Amino acid sequence: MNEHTDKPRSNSYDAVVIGGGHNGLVCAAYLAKAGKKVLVVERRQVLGGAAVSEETVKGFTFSTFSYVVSLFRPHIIRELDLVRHGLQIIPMETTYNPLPGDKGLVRWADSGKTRDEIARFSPKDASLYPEFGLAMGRLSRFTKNVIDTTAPQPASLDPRELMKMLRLGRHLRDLDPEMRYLNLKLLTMSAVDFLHEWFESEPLVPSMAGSGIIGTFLGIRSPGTAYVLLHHYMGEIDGAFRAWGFSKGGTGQISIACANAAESFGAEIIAGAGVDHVKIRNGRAVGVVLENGDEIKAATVISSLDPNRTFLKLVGERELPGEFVSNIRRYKNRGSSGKVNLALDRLPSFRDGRPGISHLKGDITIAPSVDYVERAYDEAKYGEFSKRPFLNIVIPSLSDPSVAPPGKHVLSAFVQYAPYNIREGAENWPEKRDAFGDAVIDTIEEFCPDIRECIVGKQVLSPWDIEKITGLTEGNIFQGELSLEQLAFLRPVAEWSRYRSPVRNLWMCGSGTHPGGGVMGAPGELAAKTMLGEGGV
Amino acid sequence: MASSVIVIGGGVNGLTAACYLAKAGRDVTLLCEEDSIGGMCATHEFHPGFTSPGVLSDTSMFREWIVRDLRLEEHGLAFEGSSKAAVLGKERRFVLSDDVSETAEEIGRVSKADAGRYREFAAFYERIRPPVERLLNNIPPNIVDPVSGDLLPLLRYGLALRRLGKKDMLEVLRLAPMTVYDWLDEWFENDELKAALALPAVTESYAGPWSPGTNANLLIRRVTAGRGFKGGATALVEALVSAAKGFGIRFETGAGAIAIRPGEGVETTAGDLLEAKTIVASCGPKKVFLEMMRPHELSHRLERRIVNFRTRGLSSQLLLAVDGTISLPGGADRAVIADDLDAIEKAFDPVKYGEVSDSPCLEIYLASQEDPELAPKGKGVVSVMVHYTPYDLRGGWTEEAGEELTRKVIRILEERIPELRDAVVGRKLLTPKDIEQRYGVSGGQIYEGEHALDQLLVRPSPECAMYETPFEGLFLCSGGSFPGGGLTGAPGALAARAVLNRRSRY
Repeated sequence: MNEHTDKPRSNSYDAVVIGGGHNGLVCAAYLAKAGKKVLVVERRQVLGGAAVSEETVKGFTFSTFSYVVSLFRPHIIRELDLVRHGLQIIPMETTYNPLPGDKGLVRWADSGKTRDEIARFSPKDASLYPEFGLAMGRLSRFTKNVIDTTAPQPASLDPRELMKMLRLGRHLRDLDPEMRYLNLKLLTMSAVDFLHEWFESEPLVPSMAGSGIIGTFLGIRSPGTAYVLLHHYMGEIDGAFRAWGFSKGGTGQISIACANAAESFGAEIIAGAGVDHVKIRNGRAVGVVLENGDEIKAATVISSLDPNRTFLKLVGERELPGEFVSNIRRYKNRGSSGKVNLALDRLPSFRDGRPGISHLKGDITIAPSVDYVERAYDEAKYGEFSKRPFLNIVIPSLSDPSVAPPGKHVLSAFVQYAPYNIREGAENWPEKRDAFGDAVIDTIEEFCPDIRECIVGKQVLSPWDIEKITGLTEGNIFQGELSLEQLAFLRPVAEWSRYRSPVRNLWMCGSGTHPGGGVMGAPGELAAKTMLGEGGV
Repeated sequence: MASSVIVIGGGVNGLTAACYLAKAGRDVTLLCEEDSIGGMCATHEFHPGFTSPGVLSDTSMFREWIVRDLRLEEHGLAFEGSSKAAVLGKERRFVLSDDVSETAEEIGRVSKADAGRYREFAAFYERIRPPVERLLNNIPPNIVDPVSGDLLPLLRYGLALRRLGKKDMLEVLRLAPMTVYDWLDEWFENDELKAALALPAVTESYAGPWSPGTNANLLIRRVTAGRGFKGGATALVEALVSAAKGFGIRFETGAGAIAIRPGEGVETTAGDLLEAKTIVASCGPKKVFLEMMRPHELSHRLERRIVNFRTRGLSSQLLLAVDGTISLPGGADRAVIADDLDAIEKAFDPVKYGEVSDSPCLEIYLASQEDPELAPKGKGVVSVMVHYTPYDLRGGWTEEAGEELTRKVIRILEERIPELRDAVVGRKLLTPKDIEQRYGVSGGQIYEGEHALDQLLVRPSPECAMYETPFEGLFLCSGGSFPGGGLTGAPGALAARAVLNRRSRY
């Protein structure tokens, strides 16, 4: 990849994309591929937004924020030829749930092995586990119909929209009644209640339920969290269902591949060039003004930033209808997670006495019981970070030696809950950051007694830090809560869920639009295709 | 030809179903032990000379169309002038009523901005009432396994929604899955107001105000609540019984139902088999399928679904016999103690771990103010619903645990209603376990099933969601059926409609 300057080659474009996160890059790539003259402007020196790899400690490459891939749409990989541009995904094959005083529970890609593991805790659960997987697999195929197209518009009278609703209805009809019932439950129930209809054993339930809360400010007992369980069955790599993986070289490599693809189609990218505001004349976006005062003209302006930042900071309330502004204000961005990245000079040893390291190559969930995870949430609701948090840990260096010096390792812990709005006020996070990092390391220490001796470098990121570095409002990793009232035709707000905005020629393409957050690429792709289809660019 | 019907249970839903069926010419027998007529509204002497109201006492959601259909006013039922609930805040008190301007004025005393917002809030619900009422007052469409006949009502709901206009339609779709916390936060600034509006919406499910979906309960409440009846639940039950007798319903009160034999009849506690082709059960779905039928009669799937139907009771009732009269601001007979939304959430948190909060939230009902016969002259009966208390208290609901909870509640009451100090002469606590035992409701869940979105849309399971069951001639009509628990009469009326729709067979 070329080094990116902060000076554009031209001062006029068909489209300028604000933000060089993966969605902005995907959007730019599609537009460039269609022959448009496109410029991407990124505020940071490094491209990728929340999908970046950074050598924060010398010799160690951290996937600073987003750390696993699964939902990245396979057709985008094909259409943009991302593999040729450097994308390589290493499958993750295990989910490990260590327990105090026990061997813990490992779920393997091999379902027979998983059943044996579960049977240690409950033979009944072991026998239902494959059936559960099958049901979820079928439902996730249905859900893919929803995330791979623009959001249906139930209030629209446009015949095309009505046809689309009908098509979705037909997909729904093709499911058998049992599956439709399951789908309803999945959308509305809590992860714990949903799983308890199938399973009885700790640690299986919290181990599975944990995926339901990632990135949200909800507990595993909160209604609405069951839905995200499906994501674990929706992940697909090379068309294979239920696969999760690491991007070789760290998550940033995905963004680099997208950037390379965009450039190969002729898009131009500048970095270190923050946008100060969107230039608007007579109610139309006509370009952007950079923080350094440079002005870039564009027929179309596309923001991949979150809705709050896009409209309240870069556009400004004066340019927008009052009702739209109040809708954007009530759109919930609730930072709930933090990240602790550790550089280790050796692999820490787990207390469990389990031989080998193959069970450590996937993700490691610290969720020993339902109550443990729920208590972590209860603490956070009132403005404290969890003293004993839920952790999702990966050690990507076990699968991808390129991210650490030989024999050394990178450990990345996704931490929940870390509310952005702590009781003392978000701006006081810097004073709490060390205590937060210690709580995480203390938690890991309960399972890996020697973790502290292994640490040679660390990075602790609170949601306040995530906001500072990436710009994500309140540090919300999904650019807005993925709760039902903020999805599909309501994302980000009613009547503006088709990537357009009330300002003419200003479009959106970030995770704050349908189908939402995660390293999927879908919002960027769907925004570009909608724009091209509707003559928006 | 009239075929005979047995209605099991003499609660509000059982009585309503029986009346509708008899009115349509069916030969109806109501099977119910004498002392449980009224179901969860049934009264009992809890302290010498003092009679309790039932565990369900709020009649403001009883459907007006049922009152009209069954001509209950001719049987002595009269609407109250207004229904009022006092908010007993830490420092300030104000009164919420069904009169919007009066309430807005009261709210104005604590927040000028909220007073105006309340008017808009009430107007919003008034605007969206038609499609929501339409949904709640009809047999629900089968959304899990629709046959072509169900698509039409579904389409009609869709059209009714569209008729609201784009903005309100999208707003209805947005608000239903929300947390009551976020929704009320969008509207109001005053903490006590928000908490008072939220409390009734969250006590029906295993949820606090932070839980998604709780806003659907608030929606249902705001859209269906009207004025209650003079004399409260007792008056409602008396009118229904009188109407039932007028329709010629036979009351079989010597024994209760113990087993259901679909197509044959009902076995009673006295050992008899009362024969009937059609059986309408007003007891909860768990009781019907898991206790009153033989296990081998149920398919594995139905059994699993009914077992999974969530009926975790979360409320206790503390009954107080008091000397002298207690009065609430504005002459209200109800009051709420919940200081803010977080206080409700914090009252819920411990339940998840089998514990009770030190500061439960309270709904107070001056029962004897509405029905003076409950207490001797010059004395009173106060009923307090305590939220939240787990059914499965860690260590069990021992006498000690009950005493501890009672002390906690009385301490809060005395602080907010100083007149209560030294006035309490008798008290009795009904924990969820006691409620289960006394009223026969699974889990002590007074709505016969939690009001969570999945359990409201398909209640209690797909094969039973339209009051019919997989068993020939067996119908359900409790709060465990659509549209849910509380004194609405709706499940009873709609179940009767379902029976009558199957005219040819039953």
